[in-house]
Amino acid sequence: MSAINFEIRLNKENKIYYEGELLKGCVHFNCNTEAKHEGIQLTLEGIVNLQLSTKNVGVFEAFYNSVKPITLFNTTLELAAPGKLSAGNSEFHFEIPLVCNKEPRVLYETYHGVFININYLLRCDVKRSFLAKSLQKIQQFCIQNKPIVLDTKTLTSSEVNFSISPETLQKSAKERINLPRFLITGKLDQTECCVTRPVTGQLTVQHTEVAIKSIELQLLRVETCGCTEGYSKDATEIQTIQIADGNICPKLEIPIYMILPRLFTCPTLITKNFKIEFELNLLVIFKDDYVVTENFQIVLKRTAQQCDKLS
Amino acid sequence: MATDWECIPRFYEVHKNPLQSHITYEHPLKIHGVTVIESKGTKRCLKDIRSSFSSDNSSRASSSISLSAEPLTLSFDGTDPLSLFARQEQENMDPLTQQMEKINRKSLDENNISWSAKRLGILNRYTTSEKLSISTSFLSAASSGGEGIKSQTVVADKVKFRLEQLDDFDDASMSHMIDLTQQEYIQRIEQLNQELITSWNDDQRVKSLKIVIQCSKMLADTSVLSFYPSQFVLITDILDMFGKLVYERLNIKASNIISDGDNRKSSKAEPLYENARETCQNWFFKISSIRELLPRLYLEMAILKCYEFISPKEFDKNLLRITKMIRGIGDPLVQTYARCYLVRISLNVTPNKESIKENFKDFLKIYNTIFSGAVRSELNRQRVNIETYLSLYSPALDFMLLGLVHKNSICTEEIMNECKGTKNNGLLFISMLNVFQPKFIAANALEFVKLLASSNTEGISKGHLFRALGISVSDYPPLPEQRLQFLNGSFNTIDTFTDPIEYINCIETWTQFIAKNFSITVINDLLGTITLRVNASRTYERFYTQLQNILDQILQHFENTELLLIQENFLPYLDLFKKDSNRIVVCKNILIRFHQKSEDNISDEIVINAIMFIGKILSNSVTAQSVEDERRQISHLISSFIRKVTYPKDFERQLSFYVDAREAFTDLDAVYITLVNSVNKLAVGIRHVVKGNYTQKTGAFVKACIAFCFISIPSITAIQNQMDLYLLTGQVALLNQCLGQADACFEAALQLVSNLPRSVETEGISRNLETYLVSYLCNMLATLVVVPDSPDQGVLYLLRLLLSVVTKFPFDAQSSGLVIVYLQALDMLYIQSLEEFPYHIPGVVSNDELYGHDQKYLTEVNNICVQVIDDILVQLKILGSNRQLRTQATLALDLFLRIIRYANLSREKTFQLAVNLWLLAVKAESHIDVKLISHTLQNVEYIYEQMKNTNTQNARSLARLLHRIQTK
Repeated sequence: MSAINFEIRLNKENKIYYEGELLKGCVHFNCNTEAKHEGIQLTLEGIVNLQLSTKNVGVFEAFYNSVKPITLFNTTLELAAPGKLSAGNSEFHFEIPLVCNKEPRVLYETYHGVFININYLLRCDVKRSFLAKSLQKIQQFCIQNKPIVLDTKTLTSSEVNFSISPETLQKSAKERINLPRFLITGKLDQTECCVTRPVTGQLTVQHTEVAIKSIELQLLRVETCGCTEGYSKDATEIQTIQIADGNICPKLEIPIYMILPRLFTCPTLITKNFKIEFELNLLVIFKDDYVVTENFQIVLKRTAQQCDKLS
Repeated sequence: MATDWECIPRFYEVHKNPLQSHITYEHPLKIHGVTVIESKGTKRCLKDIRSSFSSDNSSRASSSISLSAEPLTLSFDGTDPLSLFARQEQENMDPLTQQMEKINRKSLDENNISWSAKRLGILNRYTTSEKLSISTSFLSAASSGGEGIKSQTVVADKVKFRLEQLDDFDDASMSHMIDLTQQEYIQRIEQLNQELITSWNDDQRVKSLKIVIQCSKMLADTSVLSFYPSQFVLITDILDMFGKLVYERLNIKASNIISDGDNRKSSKAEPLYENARETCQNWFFKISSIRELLPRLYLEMAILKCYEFISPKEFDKNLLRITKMIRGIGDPLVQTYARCYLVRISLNVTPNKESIKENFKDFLKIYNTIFSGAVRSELNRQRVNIETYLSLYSPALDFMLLGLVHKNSICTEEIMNECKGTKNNGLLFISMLNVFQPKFIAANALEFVKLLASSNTEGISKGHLFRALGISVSDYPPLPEQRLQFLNGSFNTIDTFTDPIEYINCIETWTQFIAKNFSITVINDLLGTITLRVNASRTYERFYTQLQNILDQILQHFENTELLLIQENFLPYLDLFKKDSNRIVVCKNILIRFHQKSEDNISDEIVINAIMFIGKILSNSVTAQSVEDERRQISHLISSFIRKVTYPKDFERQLSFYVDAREAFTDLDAVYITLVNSVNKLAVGIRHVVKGNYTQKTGAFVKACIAFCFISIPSITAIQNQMDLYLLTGQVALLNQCLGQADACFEAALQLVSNLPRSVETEGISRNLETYLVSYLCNMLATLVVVPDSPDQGVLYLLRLLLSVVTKFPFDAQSSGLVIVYLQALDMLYIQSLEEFPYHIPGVVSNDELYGHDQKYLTEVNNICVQVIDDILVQLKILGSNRQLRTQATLALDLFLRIIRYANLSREKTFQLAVNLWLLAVKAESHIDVKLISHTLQNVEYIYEQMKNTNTQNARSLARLLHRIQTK
């Protein structure tokens, strides 16, 4: 029985493509003997998978319609008619334009979340005769939005100053009495961030009665599935990083700095059927494990600046 | 009587043939190869002293090259093994010079602030006996990291998988090791390091990363404070290793030496560099998602160099960012060490000091938290005092400051001004004094004194501060006009120390500076003050090392040792050493310094008394149990002192000093030998002064000198030495016309021959004394030529004594020694038969003048000759029976020549004897040197040439003899 080894190769090493570009590549075969086949097909797929969180499933059973996967692409190319593959290496080159022709007529960025996943992949099937099994190989690739060039002013204008103290907490006056006295001030440099740049800012512990154990920065995704009639909205954690460990020196400015994880973030996306949004939580954990949280809504964009090489 | 002998004087000219000579600059035995080896040795031992040099080979190579370039100067410097040892000894002796040298080297080695040099110091200094603990999942028996990564085509999946693995980090396989000793802890860390390298080489990058993360997490653990600096060193070793691995791998990727990790050839269209950049970015993404702050920072720092692949121009920006992020670390100690690591990394990637400066500024900002209540309660819990705690900071702080001021003196002043304003600034000052150029400190010395005096930090005593200042100024003193003010200012504070330990430790570091730069009065005051304080607190036995060091420093750096010895506070200071062993060491050091530094002639009574006092202590310390070497050293030192004492023009005083010395230094043979030699020298000196015309007074004095020697010699143990000295003294006595004394000396010397052992042992090798005795007796015979016979004894009494005692020495049966002595005696006797001796001592009437070539005397001489010849013949026979044919023949030829030269051949017996001897030698011709016979023959022919014209009977006999032996 002859073995057929093959793989799909793309022309870009990082496998990142923009909408409207040509997806170029080749399917590379390597057979040690001549091999018969019943046709070779290449399929391009782009799917948005939506899933309802279990706690909401009972309520939204009726709306199953709206959580059907959204197909962005499904194109099939016939690479070769049934025939033979000669021994040795053979290659089939292909070029596919990355354009979405039906609703929603745009390509969303690749995204891996908990309830929403946006995946793009190439699949190559080699059909074989009745006795031999068909062969299949999958190559995933990523779609990104073209970076939008923005002038720096719009970014800096979105800075937020904050201050955390017992008074700012949403508690009743009675509850506040038992709280330790503390004051933390700070600033988030922008709430409209670029996914390729770190979220920056700074905070200062002005004074605190109880020692601080840790200050952490939490990145959350807020995924919403459904339509106007009913929807599920879930916030889940992407990552948490510590920005201060132990009882830090008061009145000293501590930087807020978080690099956004590449594959788990994408520009904030709001569509008819689903929404992907992001939030930041600033957690201050005191010695007695008392936690104070400050929440920030952030909008992610893919932008390009003069010195940005990442495009 | 078997033979007949009549000496007849030769009547031909004897002329000497001087050997050809030429001037040379090189010792013929000095070989170049040896030179190179020796100088290598020197290099190496120097190198051991300096910290660590990487350029071994190059420096060695260059040294040998330069050697071959100018071998003369260098070989003179290098080969003398004695001076080499002396140099080594000197270097080994004082650790402070070593330290100084190290500092000098460091400043020479400009390009390199070497961490590795500090590394070991930290490990040795910060140790603990507490139990340590490690939390890791990699050291357990069953390693969990075995699953490996399947070949996945999508980057996303792979990263996801890896991140999942990272999340597993806190899983159950995590084991806590507690109750580890320090040694075990170090072992575990080393194991982790190995594990890191293995898993990296096995392409298990995630596992490697996990190991490093776990390690850097340990840096947050301050549960055993006093071990923290060492912990830091060990763990940053692993981090460095990790950084190196990642960097090297990216470098390979960038130049694509091997295929990348995805088992796919990178596509040719993309530049290879892209690939490396992509991978590098992945590393930084991975690291930036580490949850905890400390590992995240340490890992980023570890691979900071890799930013080269992404944005090579942004090192400074990244450094500054991390500098700020480190502020988030709450524990001041952990934070400071993190900064230290950042400084270390930054030195490798950028010459810009901006980030180091920022680090230092940030450190100043948190400086006061070190003294906060939270820290104190932790210290209480661990039972660590604040002093120890503060000392934990110094390696990190020193390194930070060193990085800042290295090749950059502008910052120095700025730092100083900032420190001035800080509260509790003692810790900062210590680091400044340790790290800053001594030149800068010297320039601002007065200000430093003021600052240190007013600095008031708990845990950093003023003693500590002033100690650091003392060390700094010993390297580079302040301006001369400020010195006194500086010293007074400092001692205003130092004198207030109530704790004697603090006081004495502080003084110890200042001594070098004081001894180098101030007059004797200051040193005297210093010694006085120390004595007073130590006596007052009755704590001397606790401070022997310090007191000793202080004295050593003074001796070493104050150039005039004599002046020091006569200070009134010097001997009281010496009295502080109550314990014998310490006192001896101190005394020895004083004498060594004295030996090295003082002038050649000393006559100051007080100095001499002081040294006598010290010497007595030393000589009393030598007992039967002392090591031979100890005895030798002490004797050497005392001898050198004795030789230095000279009272110009006052011979009696000089002699009385020697008498005192003899009394003081009993039981030291070498000292006695020196004394005898010195007194002899004195006697000869007198002869020069009076030019041979003795008055009653000088005569008596010379006799006293000889008497001194005569009675001193028997106290020396080694018979050999006694004999030498007797001979010498006898010769000196003869020179000074003291005939009776000379006779007594020679007789005493000869009497000793019978006591002389056959061999002596020196340094484990036994040496036969036979050769010594033969040459000694030959020397004696040469002297006896001019010694006139004493009226009390018979003719040639001493010679006869010599001939009789020589038989008592157990010569080897095979040796020619005895015969050689006899032959030489024959020479001497021949001279006695001459009308005028070839040499005389002025003022001494020798036998030639005494007997006036009297016939009776000559008969006596001839009789003795006959006796000697008989003895020689007996010996020759014995040699023959022992089958020593070679020796026998050689000696026979010697005797043959003497007969021809000295004796009257016309006598039949003599003639026959000569012929027989010749025949004896010829018979053994095969055993002896081939040329010997022919040379002897030539010699005889030559003698005949000289006297054939004289036409005497003797000449005719010689012709006959020549005929006989030539025909043979």
